[in-house]
Amino acid sequence: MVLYNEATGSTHHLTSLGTYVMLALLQHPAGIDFAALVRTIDACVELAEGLVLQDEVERVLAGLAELRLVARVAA
Amino acid sequence: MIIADLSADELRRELDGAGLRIRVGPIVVAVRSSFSAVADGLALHYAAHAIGPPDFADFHVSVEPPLSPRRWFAPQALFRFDGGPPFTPLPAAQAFPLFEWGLNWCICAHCHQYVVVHAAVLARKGRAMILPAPPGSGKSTLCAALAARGWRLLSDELTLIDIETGVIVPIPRPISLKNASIATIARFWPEAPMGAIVPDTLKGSVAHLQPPAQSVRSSADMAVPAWIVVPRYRPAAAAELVPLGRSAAFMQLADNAFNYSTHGRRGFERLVDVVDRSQCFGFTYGGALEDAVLTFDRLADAV
Repeated sequence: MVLYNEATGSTHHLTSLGTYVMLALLQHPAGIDFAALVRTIDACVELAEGLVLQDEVERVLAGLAELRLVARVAA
Repeated sequence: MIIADLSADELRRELDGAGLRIRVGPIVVAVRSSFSAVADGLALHYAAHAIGPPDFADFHVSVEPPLSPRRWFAPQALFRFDGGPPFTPLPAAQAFPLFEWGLNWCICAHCHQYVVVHAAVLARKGRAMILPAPPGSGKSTLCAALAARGWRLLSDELTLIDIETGVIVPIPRPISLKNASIATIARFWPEAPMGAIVPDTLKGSVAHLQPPAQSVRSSADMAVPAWIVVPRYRPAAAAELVPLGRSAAFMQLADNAFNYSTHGRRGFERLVDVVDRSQCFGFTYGGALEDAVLTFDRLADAV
């Protein structure tokens, strides 16, 4: 997925997992609980052996937050 | 009236006077120069281009010797745009390539009615094939080979995508060949109308190829995006066309665009539209130009 961030004027080319995370987030504009997000992603991707989905989603979210594409808030 | 209608003396008078006005695709450029290499280059490579109106030009440029003491022992050429030099001078022997590079700069820096992409673009039956690629990927070699075999040359270097409509606006100019590709094209197309080889430029040896007259005469005929092909030259590789993901194709256009960020969201949406209209491929080849041409002819014929 490629997306344009109007706030920064930057264009981003997301990885495959990044794309799934972003699509899941776009389906929940009011926000989604981290555990629910991981469950949603788990239904669509198969990770390479040795990788933990929770950690990978955490890493992707951190990257997206750094790019100011998502914001994390306390529940 | 076209440039070829001018005698050598008339052409020199225009270059020495108010400027030779050349209609190049959607723009008119007024050129002044006292270099015979520029006069000869324009006479050969712009022979089929129309002479522009006497009272208007988009760009006023000149290629002249700079007024420095170096002119007595190491003659140089200086490109000026509206009287000011955007670059440092180059050796006088590079006067014609300097004109070409300078005109590229004028277009990239000022033609923001387009998304300007560093890409060759050719067309068949009004459908455009965009070849975005960094230097060294074999883009110009492939472009010259396809132009030699009847594809309409829209541009060897700059793809102009109309920001409003998304159509590709032709700007056929000389094809710039470098280093080994000069001999490759000379073998592939022995009667190619090629200018003098200029050695020792920043890009190595450079020679320009006259754009096909029919492509120049069709400059007003826009083309719609149909294929995006990212070429990659790999010595001895067989010609191979493989599908390319749309996001990867998009990034090739964006990364090779000179003014993508200038357009902001509109530029993004325009390039998305171009990708949506196109089939996208990666193309690896190793210099077998007949195979390459055959591959693209089949692609065009499959439509």
